[in-house]
Amino acid sequence: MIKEKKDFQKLTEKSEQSGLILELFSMLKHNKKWWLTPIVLVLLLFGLLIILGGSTYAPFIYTLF
Amino acid sequence: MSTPKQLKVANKDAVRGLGIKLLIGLPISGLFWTIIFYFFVSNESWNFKILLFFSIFGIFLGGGSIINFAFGSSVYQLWHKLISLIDSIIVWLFLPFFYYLVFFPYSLALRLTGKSKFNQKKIKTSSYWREIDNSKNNKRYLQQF
Amino acid sequence: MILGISAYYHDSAAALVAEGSIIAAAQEERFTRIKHDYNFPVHAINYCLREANISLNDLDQIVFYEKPLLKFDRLLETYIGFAPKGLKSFVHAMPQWLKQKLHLPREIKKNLPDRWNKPIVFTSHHESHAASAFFPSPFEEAAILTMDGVGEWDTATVGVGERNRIQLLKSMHFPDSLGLLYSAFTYFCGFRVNSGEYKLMGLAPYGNPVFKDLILDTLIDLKEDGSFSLNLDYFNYCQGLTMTNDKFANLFGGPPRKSESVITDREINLASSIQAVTEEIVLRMARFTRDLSQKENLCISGGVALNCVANGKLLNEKIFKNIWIQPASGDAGGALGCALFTHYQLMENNRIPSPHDSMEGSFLGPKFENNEIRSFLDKNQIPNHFYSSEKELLKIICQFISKGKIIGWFQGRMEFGPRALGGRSIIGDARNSEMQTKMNLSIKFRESFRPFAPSILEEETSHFFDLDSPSPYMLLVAPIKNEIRRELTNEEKKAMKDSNLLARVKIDRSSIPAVTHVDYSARVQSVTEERNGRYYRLIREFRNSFKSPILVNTSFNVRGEPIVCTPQDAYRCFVSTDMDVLVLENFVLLKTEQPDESFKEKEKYISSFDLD
Repeated sequence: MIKEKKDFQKLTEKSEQSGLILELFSMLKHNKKWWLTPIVLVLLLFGLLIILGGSTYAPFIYTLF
Repeated sequence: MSTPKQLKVANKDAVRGLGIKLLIGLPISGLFWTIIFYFFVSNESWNFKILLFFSIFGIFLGGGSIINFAFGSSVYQLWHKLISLIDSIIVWLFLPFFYYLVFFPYSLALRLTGKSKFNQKKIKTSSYWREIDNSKNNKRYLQQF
Repeated sequence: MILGISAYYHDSAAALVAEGSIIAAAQEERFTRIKHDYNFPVHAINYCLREANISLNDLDQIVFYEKPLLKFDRLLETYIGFAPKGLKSFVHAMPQWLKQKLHLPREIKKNLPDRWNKPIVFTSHHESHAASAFFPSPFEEAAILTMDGVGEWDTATVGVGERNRIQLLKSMHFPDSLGLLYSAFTYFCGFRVNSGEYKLMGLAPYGNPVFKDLILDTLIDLKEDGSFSLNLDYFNYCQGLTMTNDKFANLFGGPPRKSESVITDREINLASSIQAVTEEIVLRMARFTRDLSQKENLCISGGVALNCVANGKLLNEKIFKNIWIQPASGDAGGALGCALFTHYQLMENNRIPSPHDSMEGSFLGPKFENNEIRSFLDKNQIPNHFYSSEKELLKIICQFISKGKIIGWFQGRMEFGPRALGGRSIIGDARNSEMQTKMNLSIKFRESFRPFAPSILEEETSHFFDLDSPSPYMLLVAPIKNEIRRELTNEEKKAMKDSNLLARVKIDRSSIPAVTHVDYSARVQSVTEERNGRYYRLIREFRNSFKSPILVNTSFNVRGEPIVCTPQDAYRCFVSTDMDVLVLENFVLLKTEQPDESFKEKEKYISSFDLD
């Protein structure tokens, strides 16, 4: 019992949380939904734009173009 | 389901931080525009008035914010209004654009190839219960899917 | 020690589990005073840590109650299925997903009160519900049935629990959902989705299920095993911001009822019909669950498990020998479920079921000591009477109750889940025929048709209700015994067809009219000393002195307000309503003794809450 209890604890201690991109693609791979890839990619780019658009730096960036 | 815009409360650190960003950022923007002008508009002489204009603006807003908190908080409010304006332009202009011109044709293609589960013909079945895949190892619980 | 979190949809909450016992659990809304608050539960987490007297670094794991990316996948596929429809919903949902919900580990770590370097654990939505149903239950092994609106893809699951493990075996997928079907009718009848479902359930007994066959023939394809498929031609929740569409409206004779407008026979009969359909589905699903699992005990959870009328029918059908229902069956309970799941299933700790259950009566929130209350009262110069002896305190309160006074009852730890169970309650005499109308209109400021629940000494239950199992969490509706029913006169029978529901409510149907619904049913809370402590002793005292083991029990709040958490919240609610007496632990406050200026904020307070 005690040995196994350590298993999950150990797993969380030695593991890092995967980043968003890796997670998304592992999901698509796991669920065999490759056909979602292009739309996920484009949405991620959009995400970047939206995050920048909502940041303190947004007005600077938009004076740049 | 969307979050209402949270009112940003101006605290001393945030106002000071923005002041510094303006003090440095605006002259950099000015320099950038000066260069753009030199290469694309008049490629004969440097127009340093643009840089000067931006810099004075930056010193006025940024420096003012650092020195005077009351002034700084109004600059802060204004700046954040600008941000939410940009934010809504992106959301309300670009997202619909994207939805109709990219997302819709792509989904149409998926639907035609039968990938979308929402448009599949109803198969005659005696039960709508699905099997749950239980081949999970514990690593799955560190994943977000 | 494990911290469970649910957040970002509705009803954020946090729960702390240590050595298999539930140390603390609370919903964020109670602290922020925003009903169904979905923001990250900072206050609830801080409370949990404070209760256990630990810091974040003492925790072994932090768990989130669902899988965000799988939910994102569901959203994307839904839009793909419906584009170019769905733009509005897309534009509303996407920014939040792209900015926040796709980055949950970062978002969670940013909001935690301290640094957290380990990965966040993610369980699935229905695993969390199932865990919250099985692990605290009194059963060594049991079948599990979860039903709600939607988690990631799942809308209902069937599984089994054995010792320290659960296994989900079957599921139904979005968009086929019993929770969403019920919410669609909630919306169509002019109530708010995610909070008006209770009202629809309360409305159902006034009507007849005349639309039941139409629903079964047109809207859903229901199988013998309880699984079903919805006819999406009539619904709009996949692609729009409303639940139903014009075709749905045409089917039921006109547009949805406008919120706060008059409730007509159509809505009443719709409520009755969808309730009947829901019961039919729940019963079929339960039979399927029994056949699949071959167990004699059942644990249920998920939003649909809060439909106590369906639960009562389920119990009555005797499909299972015993049933246990998680009191925090909504998404808040997911915080508790994911923490328990991690403790038992992932960390493989032993589980010894406790003979009643391990929910501590659902009293898992903050408690305020007499000295804290005294300093609040003194600081604000609030007139009060202190009774150091509990016996004396209960005696005086019982006298007030017997005179028809309405009491704000605040003691012990706050309840986890949507029901007040005697920790943060408003109580009164169930025999008083004015009580229901008075409580609805001048205490709670809510619709007059809504029924109230009785709290009854568990040993007395069988004298008043046809109920042979305990109902500690007010999750079972049972018929009132024939002996205490009152036959209606011809005139009263005629009044039962009155279009004004208030006229129907006012007719006494039994010797406990305040808690008897129009169909002679009641949503029972059975009270024991072990679970309910002082609240039990109060009712016992009332029985001994005034011959009635039953009190009316409703949550301590006004319409649209989260249940009160602190003595301050309780006092503010007390002076803003027609409550007569407020009990804060051993302190008694009388309305007549409160200074005039304390009533000044009354209107402002009541109007500060959005109608639910």
